[in-house]
Amino acid sequence: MKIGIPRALFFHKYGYLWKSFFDYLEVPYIVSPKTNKLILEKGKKYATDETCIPCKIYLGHIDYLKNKCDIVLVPRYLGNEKLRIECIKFNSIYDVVKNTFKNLKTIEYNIDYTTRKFEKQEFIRLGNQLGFKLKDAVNAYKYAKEKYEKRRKDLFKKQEMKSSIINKRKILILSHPYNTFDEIIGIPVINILKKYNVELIYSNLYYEQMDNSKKYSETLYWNSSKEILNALDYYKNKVDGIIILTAFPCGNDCLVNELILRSVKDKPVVNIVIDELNSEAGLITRLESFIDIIDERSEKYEESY
Amino acid sequence: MKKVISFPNFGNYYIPLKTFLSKITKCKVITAPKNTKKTLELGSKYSPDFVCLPFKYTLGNYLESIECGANVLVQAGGGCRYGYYGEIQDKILKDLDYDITFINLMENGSFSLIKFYKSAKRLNPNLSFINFIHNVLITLTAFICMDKMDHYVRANSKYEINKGTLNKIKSRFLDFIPNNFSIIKMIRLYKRNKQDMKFNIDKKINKSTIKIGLIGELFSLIEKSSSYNIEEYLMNRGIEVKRYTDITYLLIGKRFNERKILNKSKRYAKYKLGADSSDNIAHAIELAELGFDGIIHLKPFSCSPEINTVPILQRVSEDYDIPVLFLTFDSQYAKGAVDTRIEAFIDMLIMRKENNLNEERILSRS
Repeated sequence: MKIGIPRALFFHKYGYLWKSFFDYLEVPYIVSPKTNKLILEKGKKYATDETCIPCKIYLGHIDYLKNKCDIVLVPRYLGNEKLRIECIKFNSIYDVVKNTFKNLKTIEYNIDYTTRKFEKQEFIRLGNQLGFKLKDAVNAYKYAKEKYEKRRKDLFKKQEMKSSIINKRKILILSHPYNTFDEIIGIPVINILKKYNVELIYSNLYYEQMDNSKKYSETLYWNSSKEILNALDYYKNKVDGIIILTAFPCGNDCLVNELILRSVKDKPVVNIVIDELNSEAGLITRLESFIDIIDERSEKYEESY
Repeated sequence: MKKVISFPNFGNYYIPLKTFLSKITKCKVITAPKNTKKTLELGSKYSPDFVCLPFKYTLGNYLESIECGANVLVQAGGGCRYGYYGEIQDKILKDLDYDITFINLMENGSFSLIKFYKSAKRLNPNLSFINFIHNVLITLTAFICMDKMDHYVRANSKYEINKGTLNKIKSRFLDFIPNNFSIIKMIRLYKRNKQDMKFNIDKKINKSTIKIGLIGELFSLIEKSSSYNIEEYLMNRGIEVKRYTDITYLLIGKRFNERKILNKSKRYAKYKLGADSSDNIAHAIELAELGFDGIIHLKPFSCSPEINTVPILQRVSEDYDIPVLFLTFDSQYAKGAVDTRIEAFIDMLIMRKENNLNEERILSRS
């Protein structure tokens, strides 16, 4: 049996965990290719016209996979804690996929604090669904989790090195992992920035030790927005500028962006909203002028001393 | 400085809420001016770009009531991102340099009655907890009575002997609420008015009109000005309307019906979908089973939970053979376009019904 993993939404966060889990169990899997125009078009065809682009892309990936594997992995995330829930689209993506593709065979796991379903037991259930014994599933989960955590720590350490470089412009990119690493949403922005000799710091590579998001907001209850705020708090004084990358029309981001724009006052911030009709020229103009602003500021800063 | 309290518009519920707030805080309470195009423009001016319509309307309400002299603003929350409105609106208003106190009733991700009590106590130190709970119960009774009456009007407006009498009785009932602010008086008032309504309808008027169910997002359903008064429009056409979402349902009914709802929507959705999505699916199925002719689904632009229900409702529509009209509202004002679509939908439903009746007649003859 071959498992299909769509390279969208959860993949950019948990993909490594899944891959190592399936590797340990020696289950064959394929990952859909990086998002391209065709996948986006297919996704647009299937999705409701008002959904956000990440969801459209997700449906496009599932369409790509549907004839190339036996079963597709579609998890559902609600959240581990009451005050750290995921976006409401993540709650229902499983049912949306099920209703959009009628005869699609899926395999799922469900992380939901209200019904006490947590990661470990759900991964064991995933293993059981694939026909493995309890012991194998437990071992696979342990192996995968260890590897996943280690990779996250390594990436964080690498980023630490990057953020301590002195004579280079550093820009913090605040976004959800499924935006930053997507070929249509985040990568064009990153490619343009890289041409200008900029060191990029990603909010989603930050390994969270303490929840500092209360400093900015008392009533916020979204997990990925809290991660963004924590990263912002950690890197704020180490970078020269901040780019907020948003996919249109993200419901949570439009409120949290407002919060960030209104609470960060000593650093240049730009909010870039990306939708499916993107033109590269417009992006280049905005990013170029943003880099100019950073340069101007740092020169003034040097002159004043 | 004298404290003047205000809160956003939310259907007709401002009437008991105003009395309630003035009873527990002993301050002056003003209601925000009625929602108009100006409210929306004012609200959208200071809102984030693609935030949903309720945010824009409530922010507009705050700005207008500040103009009228309010300096204590109240915001509740719940469901999807509505729970996070308060904080951002507070920040926006403070950045605009208004000297206001913002009372956000959300705590730890849910609506908190104890926080409400504490903030009321800060305004009125003499408030006792028993008094507070007593007033909360009266307000709840008022909500229930209002919703029951609304329900009755929606179901029976097509049997009216003289057009418009039921609405007249309803508005008279609403006017009397502040003067009858106790549980027993409220129930008595409700019963009296309902009796009155019963005299003014004649169930023998056999009008074979169509029946339409309204589902969707709560703000568009309850604050009718944000959805161009679709409900009134349908009722004026002599159509029976059924709507589940009202404040009684959101505060009380939802909690007790959760299992029933999940069971009903199980065929289409394995999990709970968040906010009112599962409820809407279950209601759509129920409407189809009750023999309704069509469903209108309302939502403001970029409402994530309702967008999630759209593909599922399309499946329901296919399986139960019931037409569903999806309408989305944003700050663009185009009443004509909405009316045209609804009119076409109604015509389609009437034709469908006639066709079905004809087919049945032919079948029974043969």
